[in-house]
Order: sequence, then C-alpha cells, then structure tokens
Amino acid sequence: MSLAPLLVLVPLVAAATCAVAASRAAAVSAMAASLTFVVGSIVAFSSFAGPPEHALYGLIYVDALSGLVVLIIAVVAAIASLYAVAYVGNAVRAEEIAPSGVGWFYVWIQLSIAAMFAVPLMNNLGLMWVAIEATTLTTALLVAFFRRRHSLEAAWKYLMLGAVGLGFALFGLVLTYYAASHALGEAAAALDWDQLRANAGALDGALMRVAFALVLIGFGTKAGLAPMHTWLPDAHGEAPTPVSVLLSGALLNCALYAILRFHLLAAGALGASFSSDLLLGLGVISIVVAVPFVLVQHDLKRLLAYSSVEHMGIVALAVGIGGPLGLFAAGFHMFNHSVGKTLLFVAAGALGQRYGTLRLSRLRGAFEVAPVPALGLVIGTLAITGAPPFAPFASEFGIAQAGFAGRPAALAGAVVLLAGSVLVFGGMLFHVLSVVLRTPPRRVHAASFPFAAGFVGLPLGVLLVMGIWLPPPIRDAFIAVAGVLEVVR
Amino acid sequence: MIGAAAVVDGLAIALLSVALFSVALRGLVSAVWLLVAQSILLAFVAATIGVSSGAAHMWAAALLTLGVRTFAVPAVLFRVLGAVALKRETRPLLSTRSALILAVGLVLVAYVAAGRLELSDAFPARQALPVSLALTFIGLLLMATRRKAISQLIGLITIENGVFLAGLIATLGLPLFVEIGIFFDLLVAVGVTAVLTLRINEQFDTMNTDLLRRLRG
Repeated sequence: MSLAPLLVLVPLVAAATCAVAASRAAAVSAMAASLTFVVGSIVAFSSFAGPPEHALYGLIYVDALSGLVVLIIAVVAAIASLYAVAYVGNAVRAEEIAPSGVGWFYVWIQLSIAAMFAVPLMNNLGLMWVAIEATTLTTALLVAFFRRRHSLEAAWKYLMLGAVGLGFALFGLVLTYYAASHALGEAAAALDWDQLRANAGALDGALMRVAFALVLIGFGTKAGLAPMHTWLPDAHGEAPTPVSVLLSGALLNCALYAILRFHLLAAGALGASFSSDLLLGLGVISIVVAVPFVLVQHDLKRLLAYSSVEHMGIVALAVGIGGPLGLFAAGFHMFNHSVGKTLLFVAAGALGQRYGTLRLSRLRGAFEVAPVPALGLVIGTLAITGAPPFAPFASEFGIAQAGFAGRPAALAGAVVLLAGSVLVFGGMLFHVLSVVLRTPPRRVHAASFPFAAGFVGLPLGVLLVMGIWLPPPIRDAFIAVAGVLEVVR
Repeated sequence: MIGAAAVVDGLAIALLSVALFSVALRGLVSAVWLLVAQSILLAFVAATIGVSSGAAHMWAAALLTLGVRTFAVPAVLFRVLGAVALKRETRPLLSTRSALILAVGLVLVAYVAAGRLELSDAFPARQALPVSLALTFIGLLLMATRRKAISQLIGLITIENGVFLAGLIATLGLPLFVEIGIFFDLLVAVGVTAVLTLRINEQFDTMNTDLLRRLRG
C-alpha cells in the first residue's frame, strides 16, 4: 500500500481544517507540512530504491523522477509552512495582514501544496496538466495577499501569463493525445504516462515535434524559462515571503518536471536531439537573460527571483546536455537550488520584516540588526552562486564537465554556464555584501524570527555536507533519477 | 441530407465570425454576450460530433460546455461588470480598424499553419482545425491589445475555446475525467480572476491594466 495519496490528502484536510478553525490555522498548517515532509521522504526514498510504483488503481505513478520532485516539495513546503508561522505573526502585528485574513492565508497555502504534490504523482498527463493549472490558481491570490498595488499587478501578470502558457500546453497535450490514440487506440489510458513511455517510439514524429514545442512554451512559462519568465520576478518579489519560498523552491520544479516528461516522449518519438537541443537552447537563453538583471538589481527578492531564472536555465541546460553525468547533475542541481533558494528567501523575508523594505539600498548593516539571517544570506549566496565546497558547486561542476565532453552545442552551453556563473557570483555577492556591511539605520522594526539558527543552519548544513560528500542513498537517488531521464538512443 | 462534417464546418465558420465580432466591438456587455454565443456554438459542435460518432462522452462534453461556459462563466463576468459599472473598452492599444486587419491576417496564418498539420484520423471537418488555431490567435490578440482586465479575461477564454475546439475535432475530446478537470479549472480560473479584477478595481478605481505597469527590471 503506497503512502503517496496521503501527500495530496493531508494538505486538503489541513486546508479544510484551517477554513473552519481559523484561530488554530498556523498550527494546523505547520503540523500538516511536517507530516507531508515525513510521508514525502518515505515515498521519495522508496521510489529511488525500487521499480516504479502504482497506487489508487493506476491513478498515481511514482518513479524516481516523481520521487525527486516529491522530496523537493516536501522539504520546501515544510520550511515554508513552519516559517509562515513567524512571518504571518509579524505581518499581522505590522498590520500588513488583517487578523481575519490569516485563516485564508493558510487555506490557500495548504491547497497550493496539495496541488503541487499532485503534479509529480499523476500518471495521466491530462490530470498532471489540471494539477499544474491548480497550482497557478491556488497561488495567484496568495501573490496578491497584501492587496497592495504592486502585488495586485504581479498577481494579474502571473495569472494571465500562466493561463496563456497553460493554454499552449493544453494544445500540446491535445496533439499528444491525438498521436497516442493513433498509436495506442482510443482510450483514457492513451494519456497514461506508463503506457505512453512504453510506446513513445510509435508516436507520430511530426506531431510530437509540434506538441513538444507547444508544451515547452506553455510549461516553460510556468517554469520561469526565459523569454517567458517576465511574470516571475514580479510574483516572487511581491508575494508574502513564505509564498515566494513555495513558488521558487517547489513550483518551478513542478513545471520543469512536466517539461521533462514530454521531453522523454518527444525523444522517444523523434530521437533525443530535437527536444534536447530545444531545452539546451532555452537553458542558455535563461542564463543569458538573467545575468544583467542580477547585476543591476535593486530589490533583494527580485534578485533572488532572477537567480531562480538562471538556475532553471541551468537545469534545462543540464538535461539538454544529457548523458549519465549531465542527467545526474541535473537532478542534483534541482535539489540544491531548491534548498539554497528556500534558505535565501527565508533570510530575505526575515530581513525585510526588520527593515520594512526589500530595497537593497535601504537594507544597510544587516549584520548588526539581524546577525543570523544576514549570515544566512551571505553564506547562502556563496552556496547558490556555486562557490566551493557547497553542493551547487558540485552539481554545476558536473554539468560543465558533461558539457565539455559532449557535442558542440553542449560545449557552448557549458561555456555560457561558466561565464554566467562567474558574473552572477560577483553580482550577487556584491549586492549582498553591500547590504550587510554598512552602518545600520537608526530605527528598524521589531519582528520576531524564532528558531533562526535552525532555519538558516539546517539547509546550509545540508548543502555543505552534500557538497563535500554525497551519502550513498542520496547518490543512488540521483543515479535513479538520471536513469529515468536517460533517453534510449 | 447534410453530413455532420458540413454542420461542424458551418458551426466553425460561425465561431470565427463571432470571434471577429468581439475584435470589432468595444462594448463590454456585448463582449460577454459574444462569449455566450461562442460557447453555445461549441456545445453544438460537441453535440454534432457526439451524434455522428456515437461517442457518449461527447454528450457529457456538450452539457459541460453549456453549463460551465454558457451559464456559469458569463454569470460571473456579468456580476463583475455590474459591480464595477463599466461599459466600454476605452483606449485599446490598437484602433478597431487595425485590430481587425491584424485579426484577419492571423486567420490567414491559422489556415496556412493548419494546412501543414496532418491529422488523418481527425473528424473530417476541414474548417474546424484552422478555426481553432484562429480562435487561439484572436484570443492572444485581444489579451495583448485590450487594457481592461475583463477584456483580457475574455481573450483568455477565447484562447481556451480554440484549444477546446481542436481537442473536439482532433481526438473527439480528451478523456472525460480530464475534460471535467479542465472545466473545473476554467471555472476556478474565472472565479479567481474575477476576485482579482474586483480588488484591482477597488485599489485603482479603474479596471485599466495599463496602470499595472510599475514593475520593471
């Protein structure tokens, strides 16, 4: 009996409970997220160790790739929900959120977590699409939760671009279904992943070419791949910080996961080069587009958001490069980015509440005002920009190595990756150091951040350990993910 | 006797004309009514294909189309319009004439593009696939050139209608439970967008999304 259905069920029940018992919503949400963290870890690690698993009459399908995304969502959702308790408390005291709105905040948080977990679990690609659309809808009002002008603008842009993107993806899905019902016969099972993967070679190549392009544009919008990323910095910057954590750490990976599934189908039908080259190209574009915006950034959370565009590009690039090493590093990097970015957003949120702003020029002297988040911000920046000995260095190094050993396009991609990483490293570190090192302003807000050392120390510890030494079960996990992503040539 | 394919072709052409009308007209109330017309035509397409192919779930698709797209969605839109007391799309980015010329150009592009896709198994209605692409393009055009939040939402639903039509004729619709999921999403999407529209209205005292241009860089 698989535990996977619980991952959707628990957040749904929690959401209902939060709606009824608004006064206990924070505790309910934190408990539910801790529970899904445990369940998600169990589901993920059993998927890494064994063959793909079905549950709920074939509705749910869990292989190592789903497992990795489940693990990422479980970790990020737990941190976001636990951090939300302090964050929302501060926001209510600062009168940014009305006390009556608190219950609803947690209702939407838990609903969005349920939708995110559904994405990697659905066997049917149509239902996967439905789940991704549900993640947009459940997070849209959260982005606008402060009801300020800028956050409404961000939410509107997010909703419209996300919906148009998903319209494209749906068109691609229809074409895939057409190709599949041609090859497999007219049945609901024609959109089931296990069926499709097994028969990918029989799908019509010309159709899958168009279908993959549409899906890449559509889900690529949601995954924040440039040039469809324009909603992302706004939404990540304007959303309440726990929501930014969910968007950047978990949601982007859900959309990327969907792209990877279709990539495998297109590669099965057409051979690896078409979809791999498109992924590689979009990855390179994302890195190139993100760099200048990181360099000239004036807002801390937008800085982190553009860094997410860069990192989604790096993962797409890694899958495009392919090969055992490239695919291993792709999964590894997805995990590293999520852990690192979660830490950075939490630190940024804590600082933002002390200063009452996220403008980089106003966040002076953070080391004196809030030493723990400031330290997390600096070391986290070092880690996420690929400084050794942290894990993102190891995964980016693996990607570059795979690129240099690969075809000419992969080589070019690796060069862009290295150049981009150096520039982003310099740019982000400059911004962050200029934040923490100057004289603090005379007045800052009071905002509590309990367990600060844990929120900062645990993710950093994970990234540090995994950068130096990958424990065998985790190494096997990424090998299993690479096995799923391996395209049979 | 007229074949089912000819009926679907006729309905598709009617859909295209309705979509072109929504480019030509600026009144918001008439825009919602044109959306109702689109939905009714779509429901007829589903029903016609259901009759001729004997696929029972097409009837479910037709009923869902009637219920969600013809009643629920327009009802929400009319409520929003009532709440914000707004009548016309003012100052769109393009004049009506240039928008129409662009729309006709997009229709031509759709016909050329659809000619390249070979769907041998699809329902044998020659106009339906190009029209579905054209609806998608026209929806994008509406979203890009109109400034009122509600007009952009109407553009979005037009895009969805195009994709839905493509699904109907290419594959006799997606599997029913997927279809239900998509309808549910559409309904929630319209609800969430309506809430957001009202909040934008109360914050900005307008439904102009061109005030939503502050976030850059």
